[in-house]
Amino acid sequence: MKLLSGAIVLILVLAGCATTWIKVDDAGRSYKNEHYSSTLPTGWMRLESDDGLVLSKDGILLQYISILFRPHKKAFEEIEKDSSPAMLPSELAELTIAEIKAGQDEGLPSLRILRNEPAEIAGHTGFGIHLQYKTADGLRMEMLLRGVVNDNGFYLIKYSAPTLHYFNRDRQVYETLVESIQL
Amino acid sequence: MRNTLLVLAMMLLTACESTPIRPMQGLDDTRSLSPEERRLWHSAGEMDEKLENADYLYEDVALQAYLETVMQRIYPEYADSISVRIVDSPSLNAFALPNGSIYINTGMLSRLENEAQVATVLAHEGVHFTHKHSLQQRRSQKNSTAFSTGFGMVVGIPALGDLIALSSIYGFSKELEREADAEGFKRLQSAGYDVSQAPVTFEFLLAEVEALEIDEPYFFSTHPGLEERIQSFRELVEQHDKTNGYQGTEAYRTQVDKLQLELLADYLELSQHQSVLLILDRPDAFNRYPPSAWYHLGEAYRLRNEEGDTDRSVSAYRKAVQQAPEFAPTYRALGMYYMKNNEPVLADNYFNQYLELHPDATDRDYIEYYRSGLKAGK
Repeated sequence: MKLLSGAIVLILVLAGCATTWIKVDDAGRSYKNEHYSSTLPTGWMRLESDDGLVLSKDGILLQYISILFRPHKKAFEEIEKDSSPAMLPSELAELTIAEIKAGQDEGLPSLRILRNEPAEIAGHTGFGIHLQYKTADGLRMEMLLRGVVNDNGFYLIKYSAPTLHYFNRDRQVYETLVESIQL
Repeated sequence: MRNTLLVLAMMLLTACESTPIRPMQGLDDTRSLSPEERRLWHSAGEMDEKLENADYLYEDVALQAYLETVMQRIYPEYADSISVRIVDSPSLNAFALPNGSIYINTGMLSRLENEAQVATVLAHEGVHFTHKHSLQQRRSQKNSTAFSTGFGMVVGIPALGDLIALSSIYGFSKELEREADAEGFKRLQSAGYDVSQAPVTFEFLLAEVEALEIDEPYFFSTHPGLEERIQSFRELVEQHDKTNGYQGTEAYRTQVDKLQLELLADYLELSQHQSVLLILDRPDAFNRYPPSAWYHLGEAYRLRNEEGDTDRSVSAYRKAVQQAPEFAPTYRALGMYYMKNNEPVLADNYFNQYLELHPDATDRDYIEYYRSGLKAGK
């Protein structure tokens, strides 16, 4: 299982039967489940799965934000590694990059880390990663990742969009959503 | 009427496709392709483009030129038709496309020990081209569905990782792989290589596969079992004069030294500590690798995290500091170790040395964050 990669999201969409896309309106902006709460962007579509929430405005191939929660024992299934509450931010970032690379469908080896630094998420210090990669058709994509652990498990908030036009256009939506998250 | 024409057309096509396929006799055969072959070559060309456009190729002009030279030594008459490219992937793989594009992964190159071994792999893949194995496979009734699905997906799907996997998984039948082994062996001998290295190539890779407890990698996935191939190569070696063949150990090492070090970092980045341990946790490893590789060995122990591995990793880091004192990452690793073991002064000292040696470190923000925590007594 990859960290809600594009392919997985696509499967979720194609599966369709078990989940439904719901448009986020003013009344539905506040989102809460047993692991976290957040304020969702109005006008975007949201889709819930067993371990995450996916949001997109124009379609997942053009941009999506995902919020993933994993218990520690299932944090990094591709590389068969656990997370732990004591894990340092750089160690968590290291495993997240390994998980993405091991999944390969994000474009290994074109994947380049542009920034990798400590980042605050809901008052906890985790990591923030900015990376880029190319698809098979040569389309340059960019991705932002914020990850953190607490006693319950590993949280990953991800934003992915083509560099051309979409990435910068919707980046602030992602930043605002990250700021709204409470664990 | 329309259906009748369709049936007739299909019958004609079937008849056409039952024509026996003979191996290429020389460069002229690459210039007179049947329509069916032209389509295959066109699809292969599209795959070449995708691999390039998606940055899947490893850029090392000297290494690529070296591999082209090896290929030309094995297939002199096809120098203008066969090209060798390097795929930037740590998995053990090599594959051939019907248009003569031969791909070999950085992972495969980093594990081989001499030119005769890499020549074994290239000679094998070259036979897939010269003997038109793609065309044969396409026409094979038994495998036609698998092949058409596989190759169709190869040129159509967006994910290149899958693309490379498919080109190998839906590769060739056991019979064609055996032919590639046998004909490749002849080429190896004609080119003057030490043919005793042919089985060694596979013995070495078998040890790797067993040690890592992985399924056979792509290069071998549709091939006869590795052990069977080793036995087959041994028999071939027995039948031929194997004296005075060229091994090219120094020539090969000169070309792949840089690549081997990069692969160690790649394996660690993928959390594949087993591969690093297999390469470095052996008595002769540091004859081939520089002292800074002690750091990679230490990192592999840290990632494996079994009983005693913390001590092993620290011991390896210390050897790296002693033998490669200018290699910055070791100081970061020791800083992390001492920070976790509540020795803030030592930790800060190592972090400081790390940043002094590597002021442009991409993880500088993490290190500064850890240092501020140490100073604050957190």
